[in-house]
Amino acid sequence: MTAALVMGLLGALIGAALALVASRLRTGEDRVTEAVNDLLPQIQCAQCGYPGCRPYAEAIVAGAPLNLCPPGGADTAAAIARLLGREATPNPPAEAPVVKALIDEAACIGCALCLEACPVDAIVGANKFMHTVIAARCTGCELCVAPCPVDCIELVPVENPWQWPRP
Amino acid sequence: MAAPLAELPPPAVLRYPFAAPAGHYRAVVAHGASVRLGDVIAEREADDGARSVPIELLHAAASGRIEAMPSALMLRPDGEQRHAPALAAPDLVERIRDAGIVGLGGAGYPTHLKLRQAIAQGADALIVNAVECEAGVNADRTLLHTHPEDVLCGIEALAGALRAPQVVLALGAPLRVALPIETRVAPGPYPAGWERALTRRLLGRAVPPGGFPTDVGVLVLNVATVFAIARAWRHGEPLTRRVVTVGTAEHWVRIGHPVAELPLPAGAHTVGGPVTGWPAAADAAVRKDTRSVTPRPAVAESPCIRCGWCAPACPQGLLPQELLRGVEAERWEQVERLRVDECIECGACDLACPSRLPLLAAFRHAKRQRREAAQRAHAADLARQRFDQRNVRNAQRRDAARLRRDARLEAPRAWVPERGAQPPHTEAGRADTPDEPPPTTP
Repeated sequence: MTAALVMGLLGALIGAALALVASRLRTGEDRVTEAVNDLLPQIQCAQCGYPGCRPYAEAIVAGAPLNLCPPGGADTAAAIARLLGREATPNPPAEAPVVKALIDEAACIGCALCLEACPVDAIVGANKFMHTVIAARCTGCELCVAPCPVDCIELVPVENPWQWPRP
Repeated sequence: MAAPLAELPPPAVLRYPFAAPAGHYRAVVAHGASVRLGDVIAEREADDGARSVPIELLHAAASGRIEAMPSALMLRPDGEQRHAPALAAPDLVERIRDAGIVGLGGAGYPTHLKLRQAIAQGADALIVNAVECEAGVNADRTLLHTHPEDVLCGIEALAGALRAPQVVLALGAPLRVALPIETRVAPGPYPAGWERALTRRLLGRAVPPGGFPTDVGVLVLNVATVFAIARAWRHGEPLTRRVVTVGTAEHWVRIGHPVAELPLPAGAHTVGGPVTGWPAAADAAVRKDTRSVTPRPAVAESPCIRCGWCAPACPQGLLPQELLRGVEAERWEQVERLRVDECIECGACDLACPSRLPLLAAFRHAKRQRREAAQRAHAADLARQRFDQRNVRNAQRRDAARLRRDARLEAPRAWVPERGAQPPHTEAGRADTPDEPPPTTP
């Protein structure tokens, strides 16, 4: 009788503790997605075919190929492969140069279409007012270029100015 | 007073590269613009994206015409002597900012930021640093000899801003100075002129790791910086020239003077001190932090023999030999563990190395790499946050729109004429809906 009581109580206690821990900690899959997302460059360019880095991270965890991310390049693909213990992808993408969007403000008609397209809210402006890109926030994803009806957005390479001479 | 320093004649063209070790210059004048001596031609922006205000102004060192190139601003002097109006800001910190003064000892940190920090932290000591940072550079001593009254004027201005601090003139070797201020000779091995070492050895105040002398109430400024402050304060002059050790002699050199046109023997040159300098690029120009330009001796490197002499030489107690192996193999985790960020780039390891390995160059490269990686990570973090916030916002808008539509769909409709339908009758008859169409006959 005592034994059954003790065992039952113990079981209930451990069960409660497990339930508490399970509710506090996020599930394993979420954590893996988060880790993959951390490795992605967060350009949010959707060139992989998914609407942003997090969706692509979710797709990778679900089995999508690793070589869809041009901004990340081969290094990112290799890092994700290492993290997930998958085989390195056979044809990794070549790393794309770093660019930032620049609006020709004289030509901008204030249509606000690029505001909608920007995945990181890096363009400021309003209808019928000039728009401009906050350079520090722009990831160079190119998504604003296509919607512009007057083609006033161009991508300029980021000078990576000072380099100490490599020994 | 010693003989006045010679000023080098202006070159055919002055060159201001946009690239800088910290930040990036942005031109504020257009191609073809005509500028006067002292006009602002570019602003340096911090590259951390945290400051939206320029941290440093760059002034034209001669009157002439601007030519904008992709990587640099060129100024072709016209030989005239047109001057911009003198600076007039009444506040010392603002005047220093307007004059574009940076630390001329070599670090190039904007002086107005340093002084503002010192005032905010209530600094009670001012060290004027005239310890030559390295052998073969005599700019500090030369300035003390030729312009003692200007240096004193700068010290007085700074002392006023700091509310009468203790002022110490730090010297590298005993030297008779005709100034009514306390002088102390900084003892100790190279790098004796390093501001943390000065603070500790001259005032007995230890700067916490990762901190600055202002954290313990000490403002350390190079004597050339103090001189520039005096010129800006007393004469309203911006910083457009500095004393540079060219080969073995000191000259006044305009900022922007091409290194290739300095009176030096042809061949490779070292910019910024014989020890801590780096090889001059073919198109290098004198910048505000250029202390010296010297011929570069040809050095034959040999492999590392693991002698370990570099470790005791390092004033920061790092392990240069291990660090070099990490940098060469690009094992950045190891480089971080060996605390490369604490390297002060003094070059003591280079001096100690019997194999003449380019240790300092490797560590500069590594620090730059790490800083860029950190900036990329920071930018990625910001982009992710903004992407997530935007997704949440868009979802909220979509939900709100759907709710509004649902509400409209479920709301009692206004009567729509329909075949065979009866018009709704309210108790007050049809008086409340005067624009209702006439009912169809039953």
